[in-house]
Formats: sequence, C-alpha cells, structure tokens
Amino acid sequence: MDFRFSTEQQAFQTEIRDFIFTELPQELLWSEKVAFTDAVWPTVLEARKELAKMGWPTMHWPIAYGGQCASHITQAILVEELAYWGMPQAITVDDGPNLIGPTIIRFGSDHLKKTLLPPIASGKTFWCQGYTEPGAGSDLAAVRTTASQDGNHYVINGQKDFISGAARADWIHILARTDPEAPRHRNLGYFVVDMRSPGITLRPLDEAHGRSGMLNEVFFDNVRVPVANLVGERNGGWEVAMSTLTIERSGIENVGHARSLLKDITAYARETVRDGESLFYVALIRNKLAEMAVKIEACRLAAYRVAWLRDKGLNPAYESSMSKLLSSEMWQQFTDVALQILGHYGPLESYSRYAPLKGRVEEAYMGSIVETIYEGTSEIQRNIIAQSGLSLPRK
Amino acid sequence: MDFTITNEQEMLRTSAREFLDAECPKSLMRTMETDDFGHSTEFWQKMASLGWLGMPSPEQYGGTNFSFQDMAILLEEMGRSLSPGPFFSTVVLCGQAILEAGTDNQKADFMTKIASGKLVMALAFTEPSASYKPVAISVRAELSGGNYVINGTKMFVSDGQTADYFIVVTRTRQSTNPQHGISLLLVDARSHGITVNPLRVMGIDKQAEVVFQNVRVPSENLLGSVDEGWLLAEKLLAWGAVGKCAESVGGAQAALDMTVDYVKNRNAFGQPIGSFQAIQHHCANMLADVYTSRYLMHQAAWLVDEGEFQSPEISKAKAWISDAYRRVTTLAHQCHGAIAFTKEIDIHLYHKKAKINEILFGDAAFHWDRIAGDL
Repeated sequence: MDFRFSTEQQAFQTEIRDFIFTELPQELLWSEKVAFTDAVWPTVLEARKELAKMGWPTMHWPIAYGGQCASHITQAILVEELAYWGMPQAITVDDGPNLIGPTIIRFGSDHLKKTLLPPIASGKTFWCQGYTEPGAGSDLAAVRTTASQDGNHYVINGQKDFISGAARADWIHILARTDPEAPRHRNLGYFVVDMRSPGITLRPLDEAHGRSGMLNEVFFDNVRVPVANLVGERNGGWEVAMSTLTIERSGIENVGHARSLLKDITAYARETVRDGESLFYVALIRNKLAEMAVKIEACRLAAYRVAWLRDKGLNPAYESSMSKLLSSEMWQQFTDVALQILGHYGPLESYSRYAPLKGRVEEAYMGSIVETIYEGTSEIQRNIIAQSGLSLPRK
Repeated sequence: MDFTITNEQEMLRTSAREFLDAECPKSLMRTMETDDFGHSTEFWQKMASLGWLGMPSPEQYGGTNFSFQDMAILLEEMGRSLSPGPFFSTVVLCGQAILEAGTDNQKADFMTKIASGKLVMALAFTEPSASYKPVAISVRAELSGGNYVINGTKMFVSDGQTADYFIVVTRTRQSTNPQHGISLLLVDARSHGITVNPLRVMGIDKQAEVVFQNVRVPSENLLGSVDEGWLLAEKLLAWGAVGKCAESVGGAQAALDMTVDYVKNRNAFGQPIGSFQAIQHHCANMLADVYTSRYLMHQAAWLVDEGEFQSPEISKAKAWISDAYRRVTTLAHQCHGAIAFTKEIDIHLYHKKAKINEILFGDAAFHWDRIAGDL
C-alpha cells in the first residue's frame, strides 16, 4: 500500500489551488448560501465555464466523449480541493459531469450523446436530478409521476419534490411510470427533460440554513417529451437509476469542507482568549478538535478507497454507502463541535459583522442536517451496508 | 494512493490463518485465560520453525527481513485468533529495538536466539504512574564500576513473567527536559535483585510488576545511546501502537464475523434476528468501525515502513482503533444477547482484549493530545 498522492496528483492539486485563486471569481469562496441568487448566479455560470475550459469537471470521462480518462482518485482530488477552498456546490459536485454524463455515456442513444454531452463538458448546461416525490423518498421506486406515450412523445404528469437547483437547471433527469400494469421496478422509464418545456412549474422551498433559490418542488402538467429523450429501455428506468445512484457521491466534498474548517476553527481557538486562557489549551476543546481530526482522516481514507475501487474496475457496492454515511455524520458532529467552540458567537449569521469565520459555522451547522437525509438517508445506507456488505437477510 | 494488498501479503495471511486455526484453536485461547504464564513453549517453537520469530531480522540473523506492513498482516491474524504468548513483546517490540539500535554483537546474539525460539523478551516501560510520557520514566540506572545499577519498579510489563531478558527504559541522568537522560538497558531476567510479580489482568494478556533492587547490569548492555534513549523509546511506542492496531483490526473483524454468523441463524418471531433493522444497523456500525480501522491501520503501518515514526497519522490510527475495537465488541455482546455474557461464547475474550489494547501504548485521550499538538 502507498498512501501518498503521486507526483502528478500533487502537482494537479497545486494547479487547482492556483487556478481557484487566480482564475475564479473570489466572491464565490464560501458563497453557498447566495450562489443561486440573481446577484451571484451569473458569476457561478462564468466560473463553471472557466473550469470546463480546463477540462477538469469531465476529466474522468472517456476520451471519445471529450474526457481525459483520468482516474477517479484524481477526480476526487479535484472535488476535495474545490470544496476545501469553499467553492459552492453548483461547481464542486456538479450533477452534469458527475451523474447524468456517465449515465448517458452508458445507457444513452447516440442522439442523446451527441446533443447532451458537449454542452455538459463545456459547462453550458446545468442539470438537476428529479428522483424524490412526496411519497417516494427512501422508497425511491414508489414513483407516482406518469409518462404515457402519445405518438412520438411521452406526456408526463406528476410532482417531484426537494429538487436541488431546479430553478437554475436547463435539464432534469426523472423517473416516471411508463406502464401502470407492470410490477414494481419494471414499470419505470428514465427521461431527460428540458426545463423550459411548457407545463413545468416550480415552487421554491426556503431551506433551514437560509439558502434560497436552491430547493424546489417541480410540477409536470401534461409536459410533452420526445420519445428520443428516454434513456435506456421503456420500462428499464430502474436499472438506469440504480447505475446513476451507485456513482453518486462518496462524500469527499464533506471531507474537503471538514479539513478546511479544522484548520480555521483551530486557528480561531488559538487566537481566542476566554477567561484568561487560549481556547486551544482548554483540554475539552483540544480533545474535541483532535477527535475530529481522527474522524476526518477515517472519512478521507474511506472516500479515496471508493475512488480507488472504481479505478480498479470494482463496484464499490457498500463502500460508497459507507463513505457517504461516515462523512455526512462526521460533518454533522464536527459542525456541532465547531459551533460549541464559538459559544455565543456561533449562532451569529453571516450578515452580522461579529460573526466569526463570516458565519460559515452557523450555516454549515444547520446545512449539515440534510447531509444524512438526501442521497439516501443514514438509515438506508446502514440497510445497504448490512445487506450488501454483510449479506444479512432482507426479510 | 494505492490500497493494494500484495500477493505475497495475501499468501502470508492465508498461511498464517491456516497455521493459527490448526495450532491456536479456541481451546488453547480459553486455557490461556487462566494460565499464569500464558505461554505455550510448543506453540512458540512452531512459530520459530515457520520463521515468524525472525520476521523483521535480516537473513544473517536467521530472519526473513519482512516489512512492518507484512508484520501487520500477521498481527491481524494473531488478533483474529487471540493468539497467546510473548510474540508481540519479543519480536514486535524488543527484537525491532535491538535491530534498530543494537551493536553488531547485540544483534548477532539476541536476534539469532529470538529467531530460533530460544529467547523470550519483554519491554519494561511503564511504571506505577501508568504513563507513556518521558517524565514518567523514574527507574534509576547509575553507572558504578563498569555496571549500571538499577533501582525502581516497572508496572504493567506485558509478558514480564515469561521473559528471559528485559529491555528496561531507565533514567540515567536528571534533566530539565525529561526527554533527556533516558537510557535503554538489556537486562537478564535472572539477575540478582529482580522480583517479578504477576498481575492478574482480564483476558489472555499477561502483565507483571517487575521490581529492581540494586540490579547490576554490565555497561555494554546499554541499547543505543546513553541518555538519549527517548528517540528509541518513541519508536517502541510507534511499533507498539501500530502493532496493537493491527491486532485489534483482526480481533474486531473476528467479533463482527461471529456476530453476523450468529444473527443469520438465531431466530426470533419466526425469522432470523439479522433481518431486523435494529440488528442490521448495529452490524452496519460494526462494519463501519472495522473498515475505517483497517485503512487507518494500514496507513500507519506504511508510515512506520517509511520511517515516519512521529507522524500524527499514527496517533490517529491508535486513537480511533482504541475506541473502535471496544465499540465493536460491545455491539457484538448486544447482538448475541445473554449467551455472550457467558463463557459459552468467546466474545468476552475479544472484549477483554479490546480493553487491554485500548490502554496499551496510549488510549484515545493520550493520542488526541499528541494530535492536537500537531494541529
């Protein structure tokens, strides 16, 4: 075993860092809360195009589709580095290059590959994923949205819930019931839908940590989608969705955020004197920081091992669930520890001039609540680990 | 970054598992729990004939020149089978210290005997203060007429009751910086003035109190440099900490395997209890602990091979695994229910081992302090 990054990987890490500070708009650093607002979104779009010019977001794609066939470890380095310096989610864990691109490469028709992949690679299109419904969260297959064929089109009716980035998205990928008679898991189609299609309406949802414009309910009212927008077989959507979900995140962005916060909260503790003593030398605080450093390292290794397994052509069946579970729970615990260290200053929002670290901790603390819920709750992840990692019986 | 276990390491694991399954059955482990010495000479000689006792030594001393990462594979298997005896004390600690700091004569003498199974050694480090910090070293060794004269008490000496020789961490000079003035001595256990009092600790581990009263040791038995022995002591702490991590990963995996096997076969309410989410989530938490422990341990063993003894990642591994092994065995008890509160099932031995390994070479709090110093 060897736990060092290669010389090329180390150089790449430095190159990303330099790029962030010389080529990307600095107002985007720690801008998550406002990234989707009218004022900031155009800057996000510019930054996405700049990154795409480097070819980095799609570097893990095959060369035939404009990628560089880069290793997943290298790609994980990119995500960790962007997260470490505080680039917003729409840049760090972009659904286009990470989820829908590889899904289309694997299951899509030539037509879809030709029309959809190039604008993803150039950063021109922003994608959102439309899985969750009011009755289909953890039970993802309980889809009620329907797609009925009418000539060369499917007509889609239904509602998707908690859709990240929908208000800014150009495209959405969804599951819809293509066959009301077919059994569960064999009654779904996987569609890509232009968000400008007539019949799509949105209802924005404000999030608990103060971010606006990100989450939406998406309503489909007789939305006509060309048959050509079906990815995979008519009733084969479940298989496609499962494939997309296994390439979902390992939580490496949480590791990047946590390593960054550990550095900054440690500096804060060193500089801050309370009751005549630097906070860093209060044993309870010191121990908690060290404990978090340990947990972050455990999560970092778990996340990079997922990337390594992919590079070896192995399917990280339960390992990605493990990595996501560990890093999301670590992030919740750590943001709580960080807020405790800040004490009375912790709950100050970013708008306050007294807020330490520009309110990052307050935002992260409340924002971390959803980490153990979306992309499969911690409970679902533990089910997967037990059933897939330990072969425990389903029922 | 490469998480590959080499083919040679896989072969080592397979042969170690086969040997330990045959020669270290659960019955031996159970006998050793109540044995005063916890050492089977027959088992020891078999390990010698496999070449295990000479693992870290070069061929000239009858060894096989294996890396610490290889050693970690073997220790993992030993942790899995709760293999008893002074292997850790003799080979992982004392043997490596002699290889690292010994004179040519010391290496030829001690390492050859260790490899052939003729010499059992123990590390006398901690004292009644039960601390691994340099300030805790107070056993005195004073030079007098070509001999060191040792006075004081060492405590919690693993395998102290079976050792032929000790490495004793002594204070040879008082200094304002407690790291200075420490020297390591090779001491014959039969020396006049040594009293070994076995301590009864839980599980298969054997520890002793070793009292030194005017024990005279020839000055050539100094191991490494006089007064500047703390650096070697630090290396001993690293080998000890990472070695215990490897044992613990094997033990935690064994406790998890036993638990998974049990919950698949134990029925309640007409179905295996392993189909209940409450049990599945316990098992998932156990696997998460074993999994993270495994890679933190491998990283730490790799750092030892790289010579990075001071790396905070070593402390991160020991801090995490100290707690993780105990968490895993606690959940193993819970999933088994009352049966594993009895000695009908060996979970209690793993739990006891977890607790002993947690404390040896620094518990989580000890290592957090070191990690914080590096933040």
